[in-house]
Amino acid sequence: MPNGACIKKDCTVASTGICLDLIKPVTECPNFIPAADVSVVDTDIVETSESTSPEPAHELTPALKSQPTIGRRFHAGTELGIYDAAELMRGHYSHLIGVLGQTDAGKTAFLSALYLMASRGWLKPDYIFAGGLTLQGFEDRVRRVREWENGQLADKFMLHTQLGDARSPSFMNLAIKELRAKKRRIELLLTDLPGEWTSSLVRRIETATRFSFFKRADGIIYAIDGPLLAEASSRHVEVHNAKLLLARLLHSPIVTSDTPLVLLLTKSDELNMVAPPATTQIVDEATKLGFKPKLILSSSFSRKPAIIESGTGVIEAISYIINHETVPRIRKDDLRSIPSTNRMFGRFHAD
Amino acid sequence: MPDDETISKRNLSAQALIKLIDEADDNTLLIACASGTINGFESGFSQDSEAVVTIVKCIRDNQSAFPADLIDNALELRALAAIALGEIITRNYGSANGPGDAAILSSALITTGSELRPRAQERFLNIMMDELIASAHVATSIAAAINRQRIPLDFDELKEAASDTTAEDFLAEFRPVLENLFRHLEEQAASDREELQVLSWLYNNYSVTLGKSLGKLDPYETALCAGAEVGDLVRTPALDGIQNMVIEAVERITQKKKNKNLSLREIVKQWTDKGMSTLQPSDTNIQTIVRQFPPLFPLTWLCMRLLESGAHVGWEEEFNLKTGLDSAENYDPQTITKQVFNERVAQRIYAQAKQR
Repeated sequence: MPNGACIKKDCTVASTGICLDLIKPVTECPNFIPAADVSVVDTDIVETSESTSPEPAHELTPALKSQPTIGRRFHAGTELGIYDAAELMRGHYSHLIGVLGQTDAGKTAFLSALYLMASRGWLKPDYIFAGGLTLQGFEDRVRRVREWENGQLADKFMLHTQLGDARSPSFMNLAIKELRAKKRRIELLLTDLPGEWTSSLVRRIETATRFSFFKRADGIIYAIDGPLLAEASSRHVEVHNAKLLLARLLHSPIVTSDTPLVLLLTKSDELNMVAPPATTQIVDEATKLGFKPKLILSSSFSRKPAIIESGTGVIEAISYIINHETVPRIRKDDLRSIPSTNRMFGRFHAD
Repeated sequence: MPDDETISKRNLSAQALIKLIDEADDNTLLIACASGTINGFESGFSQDSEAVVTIVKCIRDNQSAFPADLIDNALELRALAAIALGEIITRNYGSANGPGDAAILSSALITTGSELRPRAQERFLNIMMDELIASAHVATSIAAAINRQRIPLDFDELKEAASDTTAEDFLAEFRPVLENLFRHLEEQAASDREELQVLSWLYNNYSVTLGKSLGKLDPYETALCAGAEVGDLVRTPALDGIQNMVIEAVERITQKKKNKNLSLREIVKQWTDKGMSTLQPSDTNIQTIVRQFPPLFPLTWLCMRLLESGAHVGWEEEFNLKTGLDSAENYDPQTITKQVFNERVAQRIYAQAKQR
């Protein structure tokens, strides 16, 4: 969304991004004023004539230039679109984490658990909550978690994820602060994609283009339904889909094999935190493709909280990605451009 | 992923920034870009800093809606500065004369700014820095090799200039050939001198500044003196081989003392004022640059700070804030040697560039 406003009275470019005169890009429109150049503009702007230089009703005084500008947008707080996320990333490094998985795998539950843990101070001793632009979005997701039936969580307490724009991803934003080590402020951008996106990617490779933003991903969390993987009637399908998805991620290409990959086995409280044997096939496939997968058993909302805490595995998955160390790549072709020297000093190499 | 239009506009901004760096009267903008690339623009810069204003303008000239606030744009400024530096460092890789002055200075600063810095845990920042550090290393190596090439003197050129010419034209034709030959001779002599002096120093194992055998000094004092004194003897830019020789020498001397790695906090306790003076630049221009951009000369800044304050206490917080490093981080004597050597060489490269 362009950051600015229009002098023309009825133009809504500031909120829609579309120029009233359909000029593209909108910054080329002579009536468009970038946000930084806009002072308080009196709303009694005269109707524009046929001329290309409309005049404001009142002249701007220098004092007004220090006032807050119009055209500044405030985030609705539910989700961030791709342009909003890009604006955030412009100022501070943000860890973009792609959360993938089939429908009902537990992706939204994972995000909700992260939010609830942050809000309760349960990220300690390593992290504390440090802000976020989509707190309302998190709240909307966890609302049903707070509705219990006869002292029990409902069977289905997460709403099915739907995107505002079906073609464009949305991001949840949460900032956490390290309490140890470097005490960094870590900005997290987590995707909350409908399960249909993952299913489509598995079925149709041409849908890979909508995952192009994953090229910027600092890591991938692939949520796999633990009980389905354990069940005899469904595990072969789950394994097959997982293998296909991993291959799609690499070969489309959506990510590179050095992208940190977490295989998150969800609802593991129902498995007593024991990974079913079929998990090995998925881990092996990921390894064969060149990934270095990290298997984490998680339970976002435990059905046996006395035995297995809710939120198990959640911060471990995040921590694995944000603390992942990349290995420097040596470009051998550049080293070849160094001319050999006939001086002895030039040939001294330490082991 | 940014769209094609954004990428091409950002390319134009990078080209504009490179042009400003090339046309500047001095290297301050280049050095500021190096500091911002290494440590970010959030620390040590303000919204009104000349470098920040310049980079924002380069972007805004192609993308008017770009925010001006450092809170909103710091990472983008860092990326653009890194792109510009990368272009400058790599642009003359394959040319006959090798990398130019700007490339050599940028490479030296990237090296000194990054050596002590732990790898970032931000994946794409790491990738960016890895590329830049690798490019800086290659550029330095190319320039160092070209500088020291032993080129046979072309006496045929002399004979040609001296033959078939009138008396009036003789001097006009002969003089440039003679000047060229003398220049070659001086270059070769300088490289020969470098080898002799460095070999003598290493054979001697003796600190000229402290007037003591290196084996009698504390390990980190050895590292400081060895790095700085040899850094003063070498031609610039330095060959990797010389750096490795000094590091190995320090390792050999200090390993007898069976040290464990120490934090900077503990390391400075082994440094005497005389030892620190080996790294402190006498040139006030260099001192100014060090004070302005501590992330690029962290140990030089530290030596200057300790010498000025006369005390080895109470510096840690200021050091951490200004350099972006952690005074509690542990280093071995070899790493300190390498850093001191590189900082001394970088100081000299800056001084030579300023002179030219």
